[in-house]
Amino acid sequence: MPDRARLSLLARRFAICVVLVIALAPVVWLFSIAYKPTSDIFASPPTLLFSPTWDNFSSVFRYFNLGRLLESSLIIAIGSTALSLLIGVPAGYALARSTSPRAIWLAYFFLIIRTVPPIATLIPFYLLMRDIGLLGTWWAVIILNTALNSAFVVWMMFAFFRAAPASIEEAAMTDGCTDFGAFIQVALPTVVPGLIASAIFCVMFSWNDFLYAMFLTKADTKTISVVLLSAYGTKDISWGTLGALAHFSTLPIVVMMIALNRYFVQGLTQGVH
Amino acid sequence: MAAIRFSDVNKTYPGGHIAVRDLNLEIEDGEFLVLVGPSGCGKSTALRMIAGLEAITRGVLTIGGAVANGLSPRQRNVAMIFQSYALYPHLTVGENLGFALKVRREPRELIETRVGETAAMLELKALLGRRPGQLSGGQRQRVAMGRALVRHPRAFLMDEPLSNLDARLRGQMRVEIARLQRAAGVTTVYVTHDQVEAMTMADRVAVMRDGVLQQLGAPRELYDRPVNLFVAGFIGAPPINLLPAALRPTGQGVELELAGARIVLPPELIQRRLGLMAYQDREIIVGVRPEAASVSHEPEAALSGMVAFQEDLGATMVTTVELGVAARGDGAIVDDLSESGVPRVSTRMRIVAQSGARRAADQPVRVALDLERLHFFDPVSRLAIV
Repeated sequence: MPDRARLSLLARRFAICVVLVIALAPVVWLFSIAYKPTSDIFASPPTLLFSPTWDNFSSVFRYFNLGRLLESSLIIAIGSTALSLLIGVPAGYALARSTSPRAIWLAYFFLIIRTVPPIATLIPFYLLMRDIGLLGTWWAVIILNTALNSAFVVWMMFAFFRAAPASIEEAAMTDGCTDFGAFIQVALPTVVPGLIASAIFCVMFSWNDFLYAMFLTKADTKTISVVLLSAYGTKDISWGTLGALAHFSTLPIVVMMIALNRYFVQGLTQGVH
Repeated sequence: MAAIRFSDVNKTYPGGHIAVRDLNLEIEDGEFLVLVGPSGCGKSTALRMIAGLEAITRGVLTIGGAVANGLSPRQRNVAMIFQSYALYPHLTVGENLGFALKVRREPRELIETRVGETAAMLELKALLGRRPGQLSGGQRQRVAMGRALVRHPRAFLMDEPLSNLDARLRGQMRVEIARLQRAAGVTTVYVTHDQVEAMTMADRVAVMRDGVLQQLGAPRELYDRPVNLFVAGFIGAPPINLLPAALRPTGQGVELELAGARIVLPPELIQRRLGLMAYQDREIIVGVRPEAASVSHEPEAALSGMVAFQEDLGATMVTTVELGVAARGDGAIVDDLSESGVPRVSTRMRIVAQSGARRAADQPVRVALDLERLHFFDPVSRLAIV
């Protein structure tokens, strides 16, 4: 390898290392404090060698109803993901197979919906949920996450269906399928990577949602991300306990991402053709 | 099996583009009809209208005597083979073959029997467990054929099924498809832009251009009696030679003025083509099939010219002769096809012989014509003069 190419490679690797350190430092710090005694958490300079303790995890179980928090987060994430796919996938398919030149603009419109700041919609949605009696229930958060995530699914699946040949659906129809049958039996199985990528995004968005869950739930329907922040500054809750709680908030998503990493990357790189 | 009839069928797309115009065509029960024409001529649209994949704007389409305009693809019971094969990528070869039967809720035993028979017929038994992504182009083509054959449909619709194969495999599959169609006896509509496929496979050929049916007939009829310049140029490989000419009356009859020579047309020929009488002292276009001319040493042979180049194809020798000095050096040597694949009118003539001597470029030669096999066309209407 020529010296110049070797230098370029080294420079790129160094840049990647710098970015990784910057990105991972807060995460490492957050996770590490869960295993540190309170006296070591704010030691200056930070202690790299310490005697690990499980006390912070014991505190989590003492102060929080962890099972209920995870249940709320899981129900909201799975519920809104299922609804988003149920609505967004057929809509993305219909747009992708539309012969109208305006279809692509409509697809971008759906993407723009996803970029609307949630805070801008919070007050009308809050009033709406209050009026229809869903305030404080999981349904309120599920419905609002679905409203935003289904728009994202439409855009994403539009791209996946556009990339898939329509001729196999036509073949299915001449083979005896109805339009809906061709969609279910042939079109959907060919975009499984897109479905999984969309589902990952939806789960991630919903699991990490803070704003809607904060204002639209009540004590027994709060999610773990809401409790994680609201516990900050509470007299009895130490930083170490928050670090331990953060494990339960983060690890399910990290495990999911590692397991389905291939589809996630495919979802990110699938462009609108 | 069923006859298919187009009656004044039109297809207009929302933007106003007319893909098919007043199509009247009857495909008989069990017939192998090839729809041929250049890209955008409306042949695939016509096929897709039979399949129910394109709505008919105006006119009536009947399949097996029943009006099919409003029927969905599944109600028509026709099988289609797509240019891309359109195999289901998530299903195995066996599942692809049995898909149509499964959708129609046929009993499992029947599906297995039919899939087994079809796989045996097409030599696909060893591939039944594979997915389309693991197959070669030729194997995919056979699976697509099998998927159509397995259901015993009323008609086969084939949309350029061989265009993705290499030349050798295309030749093999051409024979195979024709054989299978004859064996099954199923009405078949086959779309292609390849006139060789049209000539070799069809019972009848329908030539289309710009959405309009130009001529319908047996391959030999289209070759020997094209109704216009387009059909004459589209059918035949190498293509017909089209030469500018004029008819001159003389005391003895009518002379053809062609490439600087004057050729007396026999009275019998004029008798058979009385239309020529109206073109005396007018310019016409003469069509000469490459095998209706020959390179000759006889000084009395009709035309003189110079060899431009030769192509030795083994079984045949194709000699391109430049007729007349004026045209020499005009344009590129091989650029004698227009965009639609129809030859240009020029003084360059391609001659096919079973064998022949090698001739150097620029060597002067004489060219003899088989006058009985000449074609005459009106340069304005582009119709054959008969």
